[in-house]
Amino acid sequence: MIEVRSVFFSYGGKSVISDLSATFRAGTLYGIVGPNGCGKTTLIRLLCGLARPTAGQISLEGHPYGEYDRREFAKRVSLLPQSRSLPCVSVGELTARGRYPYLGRTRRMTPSDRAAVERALMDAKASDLRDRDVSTLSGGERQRVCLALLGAQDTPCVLLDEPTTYLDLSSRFSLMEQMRFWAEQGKCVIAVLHDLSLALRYCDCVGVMDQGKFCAFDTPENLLESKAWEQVFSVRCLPVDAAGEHDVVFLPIK
Amino acid sequence: MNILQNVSTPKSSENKKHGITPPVLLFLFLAVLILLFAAALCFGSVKISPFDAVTALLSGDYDAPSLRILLHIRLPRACGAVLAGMALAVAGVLIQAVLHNPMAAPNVIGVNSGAGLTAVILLSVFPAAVRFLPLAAFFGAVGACACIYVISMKTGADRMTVTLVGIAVSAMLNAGISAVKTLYPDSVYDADAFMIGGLSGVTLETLLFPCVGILVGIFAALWLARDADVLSLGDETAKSLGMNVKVTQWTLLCLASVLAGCAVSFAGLLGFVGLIVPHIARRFVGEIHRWLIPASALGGGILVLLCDLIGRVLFAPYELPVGILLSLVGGPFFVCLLLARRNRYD
Repeated sequence: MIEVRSVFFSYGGKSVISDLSATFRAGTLYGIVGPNGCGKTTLIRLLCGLARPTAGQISLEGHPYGEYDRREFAKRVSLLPQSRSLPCVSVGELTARGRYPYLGRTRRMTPSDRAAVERALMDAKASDLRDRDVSTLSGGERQRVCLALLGAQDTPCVLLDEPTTYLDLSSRFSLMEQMRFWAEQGKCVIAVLHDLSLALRYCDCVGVMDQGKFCAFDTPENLLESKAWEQVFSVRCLPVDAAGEHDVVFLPIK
Repeated sequence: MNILQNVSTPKSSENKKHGITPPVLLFLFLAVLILLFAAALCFGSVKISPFDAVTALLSGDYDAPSLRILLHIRLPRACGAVLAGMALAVAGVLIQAVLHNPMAAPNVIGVNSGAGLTAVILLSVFPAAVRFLPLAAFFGAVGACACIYVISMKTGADRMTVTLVGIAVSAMLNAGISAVKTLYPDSVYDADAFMIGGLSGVTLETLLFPCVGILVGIFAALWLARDADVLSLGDETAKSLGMNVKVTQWTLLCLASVLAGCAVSFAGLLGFVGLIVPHIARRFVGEIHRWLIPASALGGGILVLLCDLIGRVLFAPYELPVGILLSLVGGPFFVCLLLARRNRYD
């Protein structure tokens, strides 16, 4: 779906992404992990067209990004940025703004736009919040509304930049469930995550980034064997088995 | 602004308590505006009862003194007040949407003064070209807008800095107006009245061109209401929703300049309408521009019409220019706004 071919990106003379290649497929949930400053956010910005690579090419469904006009692109790729300013409006009103790329010159919402908004609210389990004002919501509810906004944009590719940061545990899990739901619907979901065990637990494929490139890009099972994070994060991981559930914990290398 | 530490403004939760839906509110505003308009026609140093006016109109006696006052003095003046109020309030909404800054308004960031400077230059230096006045005012407004926009976007300055820069630009432009005024003391127009903002000299002829500009500007703003909505989600989100953010911002600023320029061209430097009215309207309808723009337009019309009426009636037969009354109301309001915002961030 998204094909990244030997992409370089530098900012102010400093190389942020160097010779990064990867393929992101439909129906898959990708987690991108890496230490601070390794270029995760830059990669997301490149993938959603907010930044242009200094060299190399990114293509979507076989066509380079440059061939799409803004609206057509926005119907295919959506982004949840790290921070977003939310105006004081109701949740339903806010979610409807995700339909912007589909509106014609008259900027009118059609019945199909309204149906898509309803579906997005339902999928994000935010239907009951519809008439609440965004400013009165808790952090977890607010993130659900942001997911509804993404859902209303209804794109085959969804990019999320650190969506779980600042969320409590149960909100994190429900957010990951939502991303799994999208992947199972056939979308290509790419999320920057800080929580390694969360990434390993939910993602189909995890990319470990270091110094502007992937040093590992594989399924959680293979990653656990390769121990790619030992040099990157200087942590070791211990498998945990309890009540038939498998998980891992990360501990500093002594 | 982070999602999680987002501004918690209690505005819209308050409006749930009134239980007034936006369409009802617009209807109420419109009713008040029509009543005030009728009152503005009837009251003044000479009282004209609606009954007399209608009788005179029906009898075809266009030379009756009451009808002459009505048609040639009060009607243009009331129309001017409504148009200027609408234009400045909507310009305020648009500028606030583009700069993500509730403190921005055409008079605060120097858009009015920019329009005023070019208008005064035209009137003093090229008095023969007076019919191009709205055009000149428009270019002045665009210039001031561009100045603030470039400063706020290129430097990434925070809201308060942008507001302060705007005040500085505004002061410079006002000094420019005063300089022109001093250098050309003999020009025909009343420079002091222009600086304060007033509607005493308005005629239907001077209103014609600005009226078209203002109505077109307001309709265009309504048409782009959803774009303003999307802008309020932040530049990155707007871009990822497929918007050409720069073009949209410039379009909205140009619209604001058309509106402010047209208003300034006949009403002078009316302050504070563009600041107060959007804030009041936002309390009722929230950050939804397809309601905010018409609510602000009607509210602006109401405010200026009301201030003009009070200014004419209170000290009749003398009159207080509407600009003075507006600033008397607007000054304290702005102070309260600043204080309320500071408390919120503490």
